[in-house]
Amino acid sequence: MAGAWSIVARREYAEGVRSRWFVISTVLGPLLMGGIIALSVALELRGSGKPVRVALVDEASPDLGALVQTTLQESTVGEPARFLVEPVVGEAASRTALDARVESGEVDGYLVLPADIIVSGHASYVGTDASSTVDMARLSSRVEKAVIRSRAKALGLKPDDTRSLLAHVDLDTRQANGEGASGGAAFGMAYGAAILLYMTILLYGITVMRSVIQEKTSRVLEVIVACASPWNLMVGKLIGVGAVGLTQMGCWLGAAGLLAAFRGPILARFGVHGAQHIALPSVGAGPVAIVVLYFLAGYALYSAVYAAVGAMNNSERDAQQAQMPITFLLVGAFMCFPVISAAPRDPAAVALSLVPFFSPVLMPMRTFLTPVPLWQLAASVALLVGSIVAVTWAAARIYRVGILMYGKKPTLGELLRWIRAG
Amino acid sequence: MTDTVIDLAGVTKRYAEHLAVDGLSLRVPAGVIYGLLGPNGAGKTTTIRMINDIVRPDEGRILLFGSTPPGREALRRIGYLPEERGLYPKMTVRRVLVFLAELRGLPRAEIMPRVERWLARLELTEWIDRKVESLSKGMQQKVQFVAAVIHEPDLLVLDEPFSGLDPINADLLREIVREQRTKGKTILFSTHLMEHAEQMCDDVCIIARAHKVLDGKLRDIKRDAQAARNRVVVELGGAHGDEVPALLRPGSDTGIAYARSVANGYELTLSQGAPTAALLRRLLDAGEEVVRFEHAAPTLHEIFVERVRDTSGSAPEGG
Repeated sequence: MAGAWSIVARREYAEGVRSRWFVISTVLGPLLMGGIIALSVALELRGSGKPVRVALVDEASPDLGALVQTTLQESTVGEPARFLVEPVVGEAASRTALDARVESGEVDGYLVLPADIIVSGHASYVGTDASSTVDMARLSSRVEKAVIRSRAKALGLKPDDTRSLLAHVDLDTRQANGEGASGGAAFGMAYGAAILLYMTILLYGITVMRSVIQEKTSRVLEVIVACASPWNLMVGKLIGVGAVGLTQMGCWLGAAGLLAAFRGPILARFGVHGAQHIALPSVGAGPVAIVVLYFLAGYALYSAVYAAVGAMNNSERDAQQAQMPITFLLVGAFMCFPVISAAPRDPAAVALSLVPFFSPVLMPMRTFLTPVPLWQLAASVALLVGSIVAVTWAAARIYRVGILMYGKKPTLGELLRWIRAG
Repeated sequence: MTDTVIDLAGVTKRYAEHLAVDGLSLRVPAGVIYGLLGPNGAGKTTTIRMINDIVRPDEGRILLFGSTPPGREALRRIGYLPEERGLYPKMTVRRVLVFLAELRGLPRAEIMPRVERWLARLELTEWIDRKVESLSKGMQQKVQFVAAVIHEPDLLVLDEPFSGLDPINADLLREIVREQRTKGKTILFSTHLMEHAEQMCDDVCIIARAHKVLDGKLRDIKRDAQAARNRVVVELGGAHGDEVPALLRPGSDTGIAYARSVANGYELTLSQGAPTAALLRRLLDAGEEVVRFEHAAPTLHEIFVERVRDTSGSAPEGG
């Protein structure tokens, strides 16, 4: 006879992959993901063709105005001219007139160079595209360049000297973790991995909790515990639901791979051509293995706690409240993202990525951002495994008593007694 | 058959706030329908849970089938219909039955033919691929009953099996339970409805407030109760007032210990050992017209109420 846990796990898996929400989320996930990517690529590729029309109000000196105009309109390597500049003076330079032109869409915005700009280093821009970070960064850097040229001229430097002084330096950032991904791509992948882990662990942890609650409220547990020990039942449930999670993750990763491979024809349907030439960072087997490993570990840790929470509550509503502190732990881990990404080698980042309830999200993230020494990986896995054993042991004890309790919710003292009673 | 299928010796189970079962000993012989009777909260369900290894006793010993403690080994030989009934609402009848049968250790190949046979027997065939939640409560209960018998257990434990069933389905279930006994299976069932027990049981055990009140063969219990009670109701023809006639007054000559007038007759309690036949003969000899002479065997219900009420004063409170 097969172990009771495997029968329970098979049931959880069969019912899990049959459920409506699994089918919907498995199909909709990649569609949504692909849609968002297609949309952003389409916007990016389409938007880049159109120059930004800027009215220029020069309150400093005509010299500076001309300098800013040329700087804004010149093309540099890898960065075509993005700005069409129209100097305005007199009545046309009044704020009301300019606001009206922006309003009517005649210009995209207007740039004001105040009289003291050389000293104060302060200029202002008002426009409909002021929230476009890429355009604003370009505008800002070019205005700065023009002002520096003007200052250099005042100091007596020749234009050629100034040019060589301001010659572009391209800093090509590359991750040193052997995958050869660029810094930007590494950040994106770290972020993606953190979101994926956070979401799947939360999703499937909650699924375990709801499954326990449903067995309690439907009273089916009584006959199940007569056939299988609570330990078998809990372990089978965790394994079955975890397998559903892996299946979904596999579907998503597979769909992502297909989307990436066929991005040309797919994007062409959205009217975007040449997308197959967009370089994508390659994802090796190593990072995928790390994500899957930490998903399994994080899932095991959290879902055992969620199972215990499910066992000590009698309705889904009670359980939703009781699970908040655990969910906050996971949210907290995710919130550490900026700390880790800002300085992935900082002792604080190292420490955070070793804490068991945080490491499932933070450690894979760090491995994308920086080479993580083997001892740190080993330490985090060891701490995780230790915690999983301890938490599962305690959760199983709570589970065993809790699933047959239909009365009031246990107090903290009672919970401790359940754990000790063993 | 004299084998003991369930053997409880001094079994005690305490919960934090109360004593659920206190020093309970009972033996269920093989091949009988055994009723575990008691008012709500008497400890029936806790006892049944201990037999099913869902909770463990704090003290005492439980042996099943002569030598096996509750647990894995006994698993395949027990069928259990819990009082808290329920199935997975989103699963189909077929899948839920396959799952429960697998948990009982039935080989997969054997499961489907049995599922089909039992569903046909309980008139549920057309529901086999419907979700449990689309079935009525009564049908769900029948499905759960199938789950309890599908592995042909030697011991069938039924906790309040008839509650919530309409009379037709209750009869069907009774028929199947009797059939199981005919096949040599043992059935333990609990109820607080004495009529059910009276119709079904060979042996009973009455428990109240965690204690055993009495147990034994139902027939013996009823005979003893009848003998012990010695209560006769007499109704005489002709004009008799409310006053008890001289013939029926208490006294050593009449063998009557106590008499009182009730609606349409007189209720008498005979002295210890006084035969009812002598009283009847005396009445007839005196030329009375005897309309009613009732030495009714007490119903199980009456025995139960009497005995449970008797113990409620003296039984120690759980604590």
